[in-house]
Amino acid sequence: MLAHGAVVGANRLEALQALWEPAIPVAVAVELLGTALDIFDDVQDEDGELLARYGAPMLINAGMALRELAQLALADDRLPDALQLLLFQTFAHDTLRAVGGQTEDIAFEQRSQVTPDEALAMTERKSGSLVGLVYRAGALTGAQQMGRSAEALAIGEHFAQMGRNLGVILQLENDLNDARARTAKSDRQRHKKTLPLVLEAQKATQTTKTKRTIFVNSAIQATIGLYSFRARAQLEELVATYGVSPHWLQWMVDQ
Amino acid sequence: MLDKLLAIVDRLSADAGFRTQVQEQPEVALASYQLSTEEKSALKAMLEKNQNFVKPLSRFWL
Repeated sequence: MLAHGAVVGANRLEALQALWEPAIPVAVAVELLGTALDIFDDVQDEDGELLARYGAPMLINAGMALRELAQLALADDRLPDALQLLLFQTFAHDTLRAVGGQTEDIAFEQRSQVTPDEALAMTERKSGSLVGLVYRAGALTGAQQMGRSAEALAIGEHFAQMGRNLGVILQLENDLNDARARTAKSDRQRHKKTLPLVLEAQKATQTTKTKRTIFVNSAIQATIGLYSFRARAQLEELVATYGVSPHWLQWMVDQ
Repeated sequence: MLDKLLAIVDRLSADAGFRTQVQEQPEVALASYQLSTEEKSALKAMLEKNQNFVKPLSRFWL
């Protein structure tokens, strides 16, 4: 009885391993791409410990190498050809969207005024796209492995939308923390037009510093509430439309 | 997109009467803004999280 149970357990483990193993090269590719973009971001912002230690030429080279390694990770034999093609396209399209957002972010530094909606749209493109890519890539891989290839694109887009909203939340929290910092390399010193700094600038001549801080914090919390609502609505739609297990997704949204 | 939310946050920070009304009768206080479901949810989340609009830091609004 015990031996039979062990065999059944081993078979299940093998089946489970076959299911998640293709996710490994995708996860590796995401990490490599994310690190490459982080490095490029440090160079563009003239920021970070790596830049101080190695200099821009070396970092650009390292970033390019990581970008290529991400492509190689996707060319893994464990991924079916059709899925590989989808993943290459996804990585290219979502990265281009993020690069567009990054371009706006840099260009905004030269502008004296940016509206809150412009700052938020830039955040959506710059940061939302990357988290959207992570979710889409995972969903495409999962759909393929679950034998739901026909629905993969639609499921991937749903997950990407949810990821984009979560990406905006993460970026706004990051931007709010940075707005409170007074370091030499802060967003404020570089004339960045993050949403907290745009809102603060709008109130610059109208109120006291304490009132400005409370206004900015509250406005960012309301904006995060907006994107949380959207992410939750997309989660409910995923569960209702595709029968996706909500437990771990709910955990992620709650974080 | 953020216009209504920002206008309400701004008014909450400047108008004590509005703050009280939002706390006591939110549907009435916010009716004229014609908020969408997601805007209402966002505002509710902010008010629940940000107690600055209630008592602890109310002196800053005066």
